Amino acid sequence: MSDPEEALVPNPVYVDLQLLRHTLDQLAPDMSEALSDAMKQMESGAWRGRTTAAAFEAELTGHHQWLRSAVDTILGHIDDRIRTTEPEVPESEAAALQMLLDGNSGY
Amino acid sequence: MNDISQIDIPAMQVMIRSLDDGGAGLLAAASRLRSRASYHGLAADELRQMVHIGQWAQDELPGLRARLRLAEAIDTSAADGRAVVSFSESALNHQLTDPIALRAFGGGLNVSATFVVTLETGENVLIEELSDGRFRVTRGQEFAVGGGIGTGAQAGVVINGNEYGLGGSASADVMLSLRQGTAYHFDDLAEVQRFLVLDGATSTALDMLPVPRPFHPWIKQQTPWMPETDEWFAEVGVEGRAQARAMGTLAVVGGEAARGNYLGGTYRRDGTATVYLRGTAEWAWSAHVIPFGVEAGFALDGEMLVELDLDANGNPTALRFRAAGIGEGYVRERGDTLLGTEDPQYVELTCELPIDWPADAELIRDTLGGLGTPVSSMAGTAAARLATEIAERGFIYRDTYALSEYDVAGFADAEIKGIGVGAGAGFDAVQRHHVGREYRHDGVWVPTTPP
Repeated sequence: MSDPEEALVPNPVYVDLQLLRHTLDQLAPDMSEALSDAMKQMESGAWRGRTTAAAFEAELTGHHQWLRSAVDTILGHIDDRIRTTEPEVPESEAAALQMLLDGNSGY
Repeated sequence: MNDISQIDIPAMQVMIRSLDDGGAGLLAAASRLRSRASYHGLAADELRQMVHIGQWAQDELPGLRARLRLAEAIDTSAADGRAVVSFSESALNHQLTDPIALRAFGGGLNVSATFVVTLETGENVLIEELSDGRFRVTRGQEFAVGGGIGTGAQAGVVINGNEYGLGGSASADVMLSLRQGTAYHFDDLAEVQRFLVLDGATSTALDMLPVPRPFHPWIKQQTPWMPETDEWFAEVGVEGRAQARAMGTLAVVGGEAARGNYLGGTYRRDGTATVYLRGTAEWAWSAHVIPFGVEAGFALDGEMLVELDLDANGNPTALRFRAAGIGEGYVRERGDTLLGTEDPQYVELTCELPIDWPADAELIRDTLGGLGTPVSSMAGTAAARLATEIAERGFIYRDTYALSEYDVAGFADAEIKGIGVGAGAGFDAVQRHHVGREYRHDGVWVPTTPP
């Protein structure tokens, strides 16, 4: 249990979530519009056909629409988590959280 | 129902580039976010789906590029400046039942003995490099028995050591042939070489033992190094051959003609099979003008094949017609070639119709019935209907092959109390190289690279 007199410092998890949010902000256009140019070319008649081409276009459209909404969904999840995360925590807790973050070898 | 694709070539080129970039971008972005997001327990499902979409885009690219290549090839061949090119999707997905041999080498050993009847037996091996880079080795055995008649007369004088004469001879033979064998598929040439060495050694050992030849394949199959057989085939046929020769003081003229009809089948390990009717024809003529040392001649060889593919349940899946022909002509003066082809090429034309069984049962029955009476009006009607069906939903392509051949042979003949006795042995090898394939589309031949 942390000491009530212990100084509060920035929460490493909060900082990391903000970093994640920033990274997603940067990548969001690439992700949500990844298939939009291909979609435009299909709509302009790059490949037309009743069966195979139509199936491909339907799948492309489905993926394109899902990507556009998925980025907003992920941003919403991160924002929710940021809102429910303390911006500051006692120094000892921050040190423990930092150790956990540093131990995440996948970074 | 035919699935027609229309390709706008410039838009398709941009679409493929966009999809390639978009898919790669998605994979890279998801990879950047995934470990950090997974630590917080966020967006795991969404990021997994993004990877799936990125991978989907990458997986679609080869098919899209193949369509673009075909559209570009059609556009180049047609040269009519169409903005949009159309083709049947089935043409793109179509796989040949019999893979293209990019390179094939065959050789064989034949031994025959002639008494009143002729007996022939031989073994041959065919190595083919298939379009997918693998190799197929076919080992075959041939047996033939037949009889013939012949007549001849010759008269001449010898003056100062030179023979001057007049004469002629003619003969005709009919043979019943049986051919059977097995085929094996290998991933690379090293496996082929290993197989041939071990198979050859086993054959030699079996030849030295008192084991009847028909049992050799079965004994070999029991050896641990023998790969599992991929195909079995058998063929029975009747061959006829006639030849005539006339000799004079100024020239020797000769010619021969041969015809063969065969019925055969191939069964594959996956349960599919192909049954076929094969017809061959050969015609050759030569003349030798003795005073000038000039020889001239030509040879025409042709083959027609009707094949019916069957699935594992025995239902027809495709009907195929093949025709191939090669002609060679030469003029030589004292051994030097003045006119002629050193490296002849031949073209094989294939028409294939996918069968929708049992809807096409009547078409198949009429077609096969027409083969029995090819000059009847019923056969004409069946042929016309078949041609229409092939044009609408079938495939027509032609392959060009370059051919080189050499053979070595020896023979000995004698006559004992009026009965001809002879024996001969020969080895012939044929190497062919696949030069190219063209696909018939909308009235034009479209060059394609092998798939």
